[in-house]
Amino acid sequence: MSCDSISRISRTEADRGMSMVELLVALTIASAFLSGVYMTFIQIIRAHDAAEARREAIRNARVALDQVADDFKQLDAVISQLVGIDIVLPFGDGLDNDGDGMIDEEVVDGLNNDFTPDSPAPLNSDRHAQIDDDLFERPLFVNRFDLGDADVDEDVLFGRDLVTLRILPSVPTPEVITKTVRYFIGEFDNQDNVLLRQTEIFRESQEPLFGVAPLAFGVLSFDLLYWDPNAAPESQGWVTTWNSNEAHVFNPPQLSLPASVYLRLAMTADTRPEELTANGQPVDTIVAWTMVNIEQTINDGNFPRPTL
Amino acid sequence: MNGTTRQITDHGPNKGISLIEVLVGLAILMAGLLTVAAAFPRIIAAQHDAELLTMAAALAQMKSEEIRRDNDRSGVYLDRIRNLTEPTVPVTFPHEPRLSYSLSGVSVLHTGDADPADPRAMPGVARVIIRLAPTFDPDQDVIYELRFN
Repeated sequence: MSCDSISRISRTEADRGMSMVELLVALTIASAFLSGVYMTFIQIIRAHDAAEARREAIRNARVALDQVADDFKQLDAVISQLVGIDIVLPFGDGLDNDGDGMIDEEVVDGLNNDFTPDSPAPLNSDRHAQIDDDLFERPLFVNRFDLGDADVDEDVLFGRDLVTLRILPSVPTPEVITKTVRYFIGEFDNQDNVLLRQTEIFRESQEPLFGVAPLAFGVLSFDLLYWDPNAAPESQGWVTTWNSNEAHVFNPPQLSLPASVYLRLAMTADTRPEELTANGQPVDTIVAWTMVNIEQTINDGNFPRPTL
Repeated sequence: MNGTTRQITDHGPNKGISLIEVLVGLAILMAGLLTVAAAFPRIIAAQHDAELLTMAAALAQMKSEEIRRDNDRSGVYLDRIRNLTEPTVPVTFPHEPRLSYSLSGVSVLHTGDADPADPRAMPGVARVIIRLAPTFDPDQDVIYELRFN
């Protein structure tokens, strides 16, 4: 009888299911593991969303920059007027982009606004490709601050510049005698922060034709600089406004258009809701910029060029 | 008594999962999840590359336009860039520290081995060459080349 009983217990143990303790241990391991997996996935998805937002913003910025640049780079038309107004907002992206302990301390002007004697020596931030023993890129700006050097416009306030171009087609038609193109940040479709391209086409014996097209959404800053050609080469540089209607009071050679236009866009790349990142709250942005020459000016025989 | 024992034994095949089995199951699940998770960094890296290439194109355009504007009256400046037989030492863009630029008269990306008439490989044409900056990629891979006149 006792023998029978022992053998019964041992067989039962071998064949039994999980005990409560085993179940709890397994559940603990599983939940620890699954919560680890969950956290990892959440982090990956966040990183993915942030990367996606950046990529989207950069792509939109690039498309918008190309469009604006195309209007300045008229190939078969003449720019007869260019008016650029500089508007600086009292806030930027709320971050210390250049790590100098100050937030949004500069404005987009192609100058060094935040250099202090404690900053690294100008030479350390003077960036020029060396072409030859005695020739550097941007040769007239070696040892001088300019756009392209570190410390220049690295941590800036947002801008809402507005620029208007009047364009004459090389062969005017009754449908397009002249047109104006204006770029600015405005509201479109009940959304703020949209970079808009407003056109007005003047036609023969008809009312002008208006149009507004959105170029990019989520544009927090739109800044332009104009390269003033009306000075000796070594004194030329960027200015923040332009008004070709005042060309008669410009310095000689009184070229009415700038030589180049620098275009800079700051776009939101933040995945948080807009109200959390509005007006001076720290916001993740991407900044895209480029520069385009105005061919009319740089091909003008009067454009002061240096002698090297 | 014997009958009872047999009854329990009969239930043998229907017994619960052992701890080992649970762990094996979890290991398989983990392997699956890790495979999925491993794909994400690759996707992010690919997006990153696309982002840098877009920036590189805009920056190369800026440099080429700058040089055309700064060209001197007799064109010596642009000529000396055209005649460079190797790229200049890369300079990191201050506003985009992941990218650097060099000027060159010869191509780095296109050797012309496959097709000597390939205009992209032609020497004596001014170029802006955009690389990944040394602090970002020690190999300093060339990601973009722009020819201009």
